[in-house]
Amino acid sequence: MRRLIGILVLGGSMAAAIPLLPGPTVDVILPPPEPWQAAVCPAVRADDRSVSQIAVAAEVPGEALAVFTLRGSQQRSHPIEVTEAGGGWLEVGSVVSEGLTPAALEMPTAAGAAALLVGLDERTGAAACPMGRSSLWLLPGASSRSGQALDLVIANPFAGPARVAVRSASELGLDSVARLASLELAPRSVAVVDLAGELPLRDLLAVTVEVSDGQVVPALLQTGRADAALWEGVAGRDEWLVVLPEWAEGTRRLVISTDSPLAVPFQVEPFAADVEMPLLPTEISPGGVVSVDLSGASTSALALRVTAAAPVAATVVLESELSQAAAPAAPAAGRRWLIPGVGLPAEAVHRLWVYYGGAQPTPLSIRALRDRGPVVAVELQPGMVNPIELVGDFSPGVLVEAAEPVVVLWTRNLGDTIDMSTGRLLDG
Amino acid sequence: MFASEHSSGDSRSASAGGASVPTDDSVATSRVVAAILAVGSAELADSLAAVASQDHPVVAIVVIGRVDAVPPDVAVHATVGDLVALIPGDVTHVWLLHSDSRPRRDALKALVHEIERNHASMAGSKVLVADRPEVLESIGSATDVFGVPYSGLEEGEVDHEQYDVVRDVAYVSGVSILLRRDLLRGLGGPDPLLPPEAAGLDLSQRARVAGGRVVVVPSSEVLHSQDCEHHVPGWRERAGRLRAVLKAYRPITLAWMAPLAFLTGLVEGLGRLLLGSPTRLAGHLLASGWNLAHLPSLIRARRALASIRQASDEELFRYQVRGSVELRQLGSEFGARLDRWVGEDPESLLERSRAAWRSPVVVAAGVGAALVLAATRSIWFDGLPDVGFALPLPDSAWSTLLSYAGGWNSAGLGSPEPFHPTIGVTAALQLVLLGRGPLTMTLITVGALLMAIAGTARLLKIVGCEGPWRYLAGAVGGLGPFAASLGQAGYWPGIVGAGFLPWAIVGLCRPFPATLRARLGWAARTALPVTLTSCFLPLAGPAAILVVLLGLASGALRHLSIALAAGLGVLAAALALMPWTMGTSLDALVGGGAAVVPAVSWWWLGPAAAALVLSVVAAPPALLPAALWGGATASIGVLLSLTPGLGREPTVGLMAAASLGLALLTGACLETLTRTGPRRLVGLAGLALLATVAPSLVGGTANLPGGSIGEVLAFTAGLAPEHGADRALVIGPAGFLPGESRSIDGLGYRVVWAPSPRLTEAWLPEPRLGDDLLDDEVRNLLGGGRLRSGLGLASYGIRWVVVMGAADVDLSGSIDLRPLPISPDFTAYVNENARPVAAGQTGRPWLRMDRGYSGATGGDVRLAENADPRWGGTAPDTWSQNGWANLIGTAGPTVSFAPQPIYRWGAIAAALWVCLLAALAVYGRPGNRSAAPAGEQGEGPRAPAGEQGEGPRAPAGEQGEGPRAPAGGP
Repeated sequence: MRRLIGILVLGGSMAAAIPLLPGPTVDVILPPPEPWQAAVCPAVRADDRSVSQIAVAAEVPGEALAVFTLRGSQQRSHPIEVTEAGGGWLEVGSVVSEGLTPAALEMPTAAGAAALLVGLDERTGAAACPMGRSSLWLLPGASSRSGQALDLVIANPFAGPARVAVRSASELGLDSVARLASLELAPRSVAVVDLAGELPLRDLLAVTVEVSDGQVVPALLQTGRADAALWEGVAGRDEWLVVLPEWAEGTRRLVISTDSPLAVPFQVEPFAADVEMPLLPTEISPGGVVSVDLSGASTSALALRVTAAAPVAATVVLESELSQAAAPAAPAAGRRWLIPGVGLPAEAVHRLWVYYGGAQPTPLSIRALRDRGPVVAVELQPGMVNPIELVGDFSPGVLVEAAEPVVVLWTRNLGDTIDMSTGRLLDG
Repeated sequence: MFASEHSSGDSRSASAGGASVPTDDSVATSRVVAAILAVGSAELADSLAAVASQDHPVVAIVVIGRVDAVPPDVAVHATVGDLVALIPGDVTHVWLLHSDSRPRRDALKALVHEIERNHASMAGSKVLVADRPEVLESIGSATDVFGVPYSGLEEGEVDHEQYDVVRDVAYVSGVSILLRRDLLRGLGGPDPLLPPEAAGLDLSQRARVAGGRVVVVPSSEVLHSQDCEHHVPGWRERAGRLRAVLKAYRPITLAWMAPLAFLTGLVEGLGRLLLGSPTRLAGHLLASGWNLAHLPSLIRARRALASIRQASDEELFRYQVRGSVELRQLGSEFGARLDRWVGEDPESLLERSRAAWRSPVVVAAGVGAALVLAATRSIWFDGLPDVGFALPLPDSAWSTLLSYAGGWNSAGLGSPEPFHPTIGVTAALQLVLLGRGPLTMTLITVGALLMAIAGTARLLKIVGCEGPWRYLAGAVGGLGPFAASLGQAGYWPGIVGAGFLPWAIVGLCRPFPATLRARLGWAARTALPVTLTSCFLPLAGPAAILVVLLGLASGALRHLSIALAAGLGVLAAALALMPWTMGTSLDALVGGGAAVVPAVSWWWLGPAAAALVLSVVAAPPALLPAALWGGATASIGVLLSLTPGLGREPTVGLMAAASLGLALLTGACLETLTRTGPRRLVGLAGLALLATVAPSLVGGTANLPGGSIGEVLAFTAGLAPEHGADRALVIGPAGFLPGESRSIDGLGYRVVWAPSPRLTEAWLPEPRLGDDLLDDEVRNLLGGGRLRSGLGLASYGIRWVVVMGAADVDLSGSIDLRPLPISPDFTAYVNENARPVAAGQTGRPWLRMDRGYSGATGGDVRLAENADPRWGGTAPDTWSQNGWANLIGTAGPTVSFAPQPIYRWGAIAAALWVCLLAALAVYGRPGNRSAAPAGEQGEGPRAPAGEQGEGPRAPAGEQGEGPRAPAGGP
């Protein structure tokens, strides 16, 4: 009897124990990455010939800290006060003056944005300072044709070293520069690659920066005879929304690139039915680039949607004899946009190009990010890009709020030069 | 004065029958003064008469020491030194004789003859016991290097003249010594501080160092009443021997001999403690202290000897035996005990040794011990790997004990919570071992595994498994799959506790004695093993109750009183674990910490299931209860350990119980190995279970995983600023981190002191304000949202961040956490914004000390420890809270945590309680006749099984089947 009870009890307990025995490992789920509460402006220049301003916009007041990377891995930091209205800016020359000095910005909140405005002699450029990190940066829209200087600026303001591979594609196909296949960047350093020298006479050039170790933030600075264009790298996406400002002086292009090892089918659709689109290829070659010349379609502002089967980047490029500008497309439409840099300098003509795709007119307010600054209220017309010229002192940026999702692009005309930048979408 | 004595003595010898005719001129011309050393309470008359009647004349008889009355013609001197100054130049020898001795008539003559014939400087007599003149007391002796005599005589050895040859010896008994007058003058006589035997050793050694020969003359016989030995405590002789060797050796020999002597004495004392003789350890400590107290006179004596030194230490070594005599005796005693456990009782030591080595039990025990040694071989050479909870002990054991007793708990960001009891018991042992932390950890680990083998074997014997296999079954308890799970989880205290647990059960199985004294001893000896086990496994008591209840249910144990005894043990342990029990909530005890669960493998699951089923089906009836007990304990222990919500302590306790259960099952199965038929299958299943210890032999680290947090953090020592390395934040899967860790979405992290976290940091206290804020900070760090992550960590004194275990954590987006190219196995960052844990207003760092910080006087110091007003020390007004930390106005160069009286008194009470238990255990031990009447020594070697309180039920018809089935089973 005892044996029987023993068999029942022990066998039962063993049988019960086996399925309950847990596995030897415990799954580790890392916390989701937080929005980076920082921005990096890779191509800040301040010396005898260059001036730069850094504009900061944030939803909450506080203090942003700009940490400049100097020669010899030295750092110098300077606070930028963000007022109650949510804006602040810094004349970089008042803090450092030694040429290229990338800046890392510690923002008071992740819901912010920063922009870099550069003046090189009479030439100007403007670009957003990325608030995200990526291991693959795409920078389409460049050109190394005669008369253009083209510098790829790769900033590593971080404490650790970085290793990157720089690849490029042009109308000639994939370019190969062995020296760029593996670049080491020391901690707190910046590398400038003279692409016009390495890859001369490319009318269409797209650059990819792949990060294998550490972190970097790249930007392209294209300097012509009369103007310069500065734009930041972006991570690839399957969809982009593009706003093209009115442009009658020269060419207006949309450049799309990919780093995919396979050909990427893509599509460019205008939001307006009456736009006559040029004939486009159906796919981008592996690692290649495609330029969509929209000069012939119309000179008025227009909006497009780019969709692709794999991550791509899309850049709007404006060029003329005396001016040039480039800016990445917007990732999505939204109701609230922070656009730092608007209003700087006051003598420039600042315009917002707002695409609204709804069916009915909708209100839009534009508030300057400075205490007691102006506020503009407009009604957006549906199905079109609404140009809004800002009259008054809107420095150092604006907050755009609409009742319906919109896409915003900012252009700045200073003399014959033009610059443009996409703002930061807050609710996308 | 001396002249008159001289003539008197001469006339006395003449009147006593005349001098014998000398055999040669030198003997005839030898003029001897007899100095009778007044020792004990012996009457002088006998010795005076014996001296006076010697065949060889003495020129004078004097008495040395304090005496009440002497004949008028006998001079009295306080010391031999006084006598030496007065001896005239024509005296050639001095005969030093104890007053409790009676030399035979020819004793002096023989001494004089041989000392001259051998050109010796000092000669001693053969000493016989006065009331049994056929029994030898001393015939000269060798010593070991520590001065411990090794005569080779057995207790009560009869004199058959088997040693009667004049020979050089290390020392002769101080009872009767003849030595040359000039040598005595140079040596200054015996050391007055030394007791008789040690004085003889001292004089002999100094004589040899001075260039003289020391011989024993067996033809010179002296009867000794041993009165002198009755008045000297044993530790004084020990202290005297130590003084003698400290006096004689050159410095280079002392450099290794002195520490070795202390350690040897310590080991011997601890060994004797295990054998139930606590006085030896105390004697050793007293002897060491006595010599320290008499260091000045020792130095003077060494200087005096140096002036006449003629021989090197090698001359002393020539007459010494190798090794330690005491350790050898201890080994023999252990062997004898083992023999008694085996149940054999041979007559002589030689026979016992031979029989023991032939015994299968001893062979099996040796194999079990060899398994332990193999499983710990890396530990012997390299120490424990500092992983998990096997962290190095702090440098200062005393400081650890003070912190344990209500001081600051430095784990994490600190807390006033009391430490885990493991800290207290390891620190206490470390203190005994002179602060040698690695040795302490090694001894505890290896000792626990050996205890597991011996304890399981003992337990199996109690339940009727008396064959040799039970020692191998014990290996399953210490090295089997469940113990391996504890090791692989890095929970070192679990390994140790599992080793002690069988003894806790054995302690509960003692029969309840009849007398009050024995009952007190029984209670203490029941409580002590549970208490010791609970120091490592605080829930060992409840685990023991579970094991006992299952033993009762299975029929292996019979008396319900065992469960009551277990309850008593739990209560005793709860008192001994103070102050930890005072500061730990039930919730934390039951649900705190990460559960330790068995690593599932068919490697052990298959054999365990097979053994369980086969033993239940086919085990002999006498072994069935033991098999059922083991199987039930193993399976129910594992099952309960999987209960959701249970934390570390209960699961570790249950795993230890399961480990013991598996060992019992193995032992019961192995007992049937010699059977035939289906029962042999049970034995084979037991063999398969035994094979489960094989994986434990691979690493040689007692199943502890590889890797070392000390090695990982070693880089911080080189890069640290002057004030120290501050703290390190280590991140990774919990199994890779030292000690306890906190978790963010399954990823572990914790703060440790760099460069080498200590065992005191292993257990994290309950989170306090700083810990909560740090949790947010680490969350931000892991989220990667901050540009200056290091700045956020700086206020916690975190100077380093280390990501271990290939955790996918990317901190490269920070501008102040600089990655360091240290190793591909982990990622290390230095915080460029780091601040010291303690710093003054100007940022000037304060140094971390054992129990506080020191720095420049004046101003406030911010202390990055969890805020607690007791950091104000004796002036609480100087303290204020600084966020989560402390701001202390400093009047002096140090800040320290004022101990919490309730915890301090709790710790003192616990220590006293353990001492009381130990004292009661000795007072009422079964070996003590007054404590345990005959027939009640439950665990005694000759007690029939039926009187041991426990034994399996053996049906009358099946007695023959069970191996050595207890005859007295009901």
